[in-house]
This record gives sequence, C-alpha cells and structure tokens, in this order.
Amino acid sequence: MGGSPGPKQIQAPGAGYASVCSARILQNKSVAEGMYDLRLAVPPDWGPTVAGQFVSISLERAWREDEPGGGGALLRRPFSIAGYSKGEDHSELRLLYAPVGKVTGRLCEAQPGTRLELMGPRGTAFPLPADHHPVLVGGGRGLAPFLYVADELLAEERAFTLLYGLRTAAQRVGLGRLESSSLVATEDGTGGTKGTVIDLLDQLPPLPQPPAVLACGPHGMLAAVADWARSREIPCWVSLEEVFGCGIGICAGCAIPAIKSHGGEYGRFLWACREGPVVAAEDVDWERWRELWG
Amino acid sequence: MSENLGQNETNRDDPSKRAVDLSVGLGPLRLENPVMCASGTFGYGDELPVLTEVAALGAIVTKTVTVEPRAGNPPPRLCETPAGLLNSIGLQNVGCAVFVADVMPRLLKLGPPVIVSVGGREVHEYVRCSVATEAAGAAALEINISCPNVASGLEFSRNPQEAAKVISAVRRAVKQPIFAKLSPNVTDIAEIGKACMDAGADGLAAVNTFVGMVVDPDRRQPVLRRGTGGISGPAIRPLALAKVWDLARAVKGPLIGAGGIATARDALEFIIVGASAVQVGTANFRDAARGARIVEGLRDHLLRQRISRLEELIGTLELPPAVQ
Repeated sequence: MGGSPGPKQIQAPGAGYASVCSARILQNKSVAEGMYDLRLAVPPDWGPTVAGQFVSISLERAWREDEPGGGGALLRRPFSIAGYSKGEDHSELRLLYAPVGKVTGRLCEAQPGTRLELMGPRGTAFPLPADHHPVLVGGGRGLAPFLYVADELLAEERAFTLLYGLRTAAQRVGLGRLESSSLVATEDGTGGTKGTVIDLLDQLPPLPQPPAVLACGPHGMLAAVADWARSREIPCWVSLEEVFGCGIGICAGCAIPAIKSHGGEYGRFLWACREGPVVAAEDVDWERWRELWG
Repeated sequence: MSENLGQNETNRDDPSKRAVDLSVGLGPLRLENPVMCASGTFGYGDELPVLTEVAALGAIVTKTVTVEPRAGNPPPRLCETPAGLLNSIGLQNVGCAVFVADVMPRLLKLGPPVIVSVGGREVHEYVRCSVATEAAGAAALEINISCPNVASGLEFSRNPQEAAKVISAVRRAVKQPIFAKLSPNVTDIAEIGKACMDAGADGLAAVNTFVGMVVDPDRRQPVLRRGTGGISGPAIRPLALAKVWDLARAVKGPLIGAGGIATARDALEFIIVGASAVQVGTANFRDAARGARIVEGLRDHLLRQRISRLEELIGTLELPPAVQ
C-alpha cells in the first residue's frame, strides 16, 4: 500500500499514562436498543487524551485489605472514548457501550452519582492526515470512537464522512450534528441503505480530497473494510477489540495476528492494548485474522 | 496511589516502622522483602505504570524465556472466571538472545534482584537458557516445568524422574540459585517437589496455574482458542495454599508461595503455612502497585503483632487439637 499519511503510532501524551482515578456517573441512559450513553465526571486535570484512545473501568475495587478476594469482577473492562470535554470543576468523559457481559450488564443499571474506578487514557490515536478526507466507518458499538473523532474534526472545521452500519434501525444511536455528514446502512433495510458499510463505501460520493479510512467494529467488518481499502490503495487504520487482561501491556492476553509487530519484539502477534487499539490495517495479518474470526 | 504515598511518608517519620525486618532467605539468595511478581504478570518491566512500582519488590521474576522466540497461542487467550482468570498465552516471548541483549540490561537497572524464568521443550533448552541468562546477570533462575499452555508443557512437572532430569542438568550448568516452579495439576505435588530438591534445586515455587476450561453454550465451543488454559486469581488461592502446605510438610528447603495472592493477608496465609516468599500474579493486571502495597501491609502486620522479623512467622501454622 503506497504512501500512508501521518504517523502510524501516536502514543498518549505522557502525564495521564495509565493513571487510575475515581469517576462519578453524571448520566447513564439507554439511547438505542442495546446501547447506553455514559457520561462521567473525571478530575479537571485528567488526561490529556485524543480520539482513538481507551479507558478501562471497574464498578468496584477488586480487593480490599479487610475483605480478601473482594467481590465483583476481577479485571477492568476497556472502552473506546466517545467524547471528552475539559471543565473547571470536572472534565466530562463520554463512553458508548452495549451491555453484553458481566460488567456492562451491571453497569447499565448504575445510577448517576455512582463512582467507578477508571484507568487511562491509554493507547494509540486515530491519525487524521490533513491532506486526506477522513472516512469514519463504525459498525454497531464500533461507532463509539468516531463520535470523538468527529468532535475533533468539527472543532477544526474539517470535512469528513461517517459511515454507520447496523443490524437494524432500532439500534441506531442519534448522531446529532453529525447527521449531515453521515450515511447509514442496516442489514435488514429498516433504515438507510439496505446492506453493510461496504455498500456505503462503494457508494461514496466524490470527495474533496483522497479518502483515508478509519474503522471500528466487528471482526468480519474490519477485515472487509481493510480489504476494500487495500484493493483501492486507500490508507486505512482499524481500532482493535479483544479481551484485555491488564490494558497496560504486561499480560500478553490481547493478541492480534500481525504481519510484523511494532518494534519486532513479540513475534507474529501485536497486543491490542499496547501497540493499539488503533493500528494501520497493513500491519494486521488479515489471512490469519479470518482463520480466527471467520 | 496517593494513599500509598501517604503511608510511605509516615514510614519515614516513624523509626519503629523502619525497624521491622522483612528480609527473607531463599537458600543462598537474600531478599529485602518476600514479595515478588509472578512470572508472566509483569511483562518485561518496561511498561511505565509497572516501572514506578517495581523497586518496592523483593525480586522481579521475568516472563518465561525460551531459546527461540515464541509467538504464543492464537486468541482468544483470556477469559475471566468467577474470581479468576483463565489464560492460554503460550509462553509468548522474545527468545533468549534478544532477552539477554535487550531486556536483561533494562531489568537489572530497576533495582531488585532479577529471577529469570526459563522454559524449554527439551532438557538442553532449559540448560542453554539458564547459562545465557545467568551470564547476563540473573540473581537466580526459576525453572518453569509447569506451563499448561504449551505442548509437552506439563510433562516435566508430572513425572518426578523427568522433573529431576531438568533440575539436575541446570544445576550442573549454573552456579546461581535455582527454583523449580511446580504444577498443581498432579496427584502428589510433594513427590515432585522432593525429586526437584534431591536433584539440586535451592527451593520450590508453587503453584503455577490450574488447568481449566470455559465453554460457550451458544456456540458449543471452548471460549479459549486452544480449548483449555490455566486458572489463576483469587479463585485458586485456597487450592494453592493447600498445595504449599503439602510441600511444607514434606520438603526441607525454602518455598515460594503463589496462587491468587492479592493482599498482605493472602500473603501471610502462605507464609504461615511455610512459604519464605510469595509471588503476586494476576492481581498485577488490576493494580500494578499490588506488590508494593502487600509489602506495606506485611510491615503493618508485623508492627501490630509486635514481631520484629518476618522470618519468625514462616511455617508457624498452629493446628487445633485433633477432633476426638
């Protein structure tokens, strides 16, 4: 793939690196079928962060000295940051999540005022090369990081196109001021184009600049988007999702098949939490990816 | 984090806190305190959040190193279980040559003695790795004969003669202390432990993970790609403790307890049944400062109990009179 623009790796700016803080729930509400919008108050000096990064949260402390073993979930769960605004008293962090597991299943019942333990921000950012038109491709809950990316682009008054793919229209999260830059596809045809984000990519209107594709979503979608971009020699980055053990690069759990690892240290896998979550599509071994995830 | 810093401030102001002696001996190896990280749970000590905490540990145990680099097992590699973690990483590591050239110098700068965990498929691979890492500055070697996530991983740990072969071969090749990391997936861990000590081990680390499995009933497939994995975390603590007690009653020589330790109280359980040191593993994934906090918790416990030396506590389990 020729001429990938911009740096491949944008690491978190130093200070907030994997720091842990207590965050307070400001709002936690269902915004579509199986989708929740969580707003958290974090300390005003939290961050800095950039779109593409993630935080890991837990609902309670895993271990207390007076209660060995503790209760609840053992490990934190990672979430893409869906928005961030700095404030005087507190800064506000937005997460978009689906209640699919033990932790998110309980998180969706948490009331405003509840405190969470939050680690981060961590991870790589989405590159937004100035000489390319960002095409943001979000599948299902993979929309989350692009709400933040879009905020950043709007702040810079830059044009972009958001492609949003869903199984069915009931799962659709309202896009607000992003609507005019968005195209929607549903697999069952209940909203927007009937089909997938690949159909939307095929129907892209003429763009003012050459496109750069940024994608987040299910395994099959990411592989299809990466293929689409590669065959057209369009630069592409993907945000990876995998089960995280630690989220700080010490457990080797979140392995993703790689053509080469950044730095060459870890053989034929990269670690989503450490080299990612955002990586260049050309660094992922899509053949092995398909063997693993169909 | 600030809690912990506050505590350290207090320690500096209070001479009685400094007076507590947490040091322990593991054969010829003397540690400032008994808390180490367990192999594979601290990366290569090169991640920033880890670096800040590592200096407080009695020793650093590295990810297992093998002669050749290993890519590790295909994902998914992890699945959380009730109070536990099922993993199948498959000894992903950079290989001995890169480890010695790039990783070891970095680890040695961190402060605590570095115990290198070595693995292999054949006896001669354990020997090669041990010799190379000893020359690179390892304070001791932990011989990993018990990884459940690689082909032939458990063969050395399930058969006393095979375990003894590895240990005696490494013993002949290196001068530094060697510890055998034992598997709990055996009928009689004491038999294996005795064989390792007779073969020249300076101590035993127990236990590695318990073989476990999780199935997704909707897909009728195992959640981990490789089918089974090793369970760690608080779920295994009582199981691990009983194994360490088995060893304590059967083996002379220092023990390093491991299995679900997350608090100072957990560490004390292992010390009281007979462990001279402990390893903190899965707890690091939630809180990289766990080891440092356990060191402080042990110090507080000794002060409360008016015990001046931690070593006085080792193997002091009091059994109630037998029930008639």
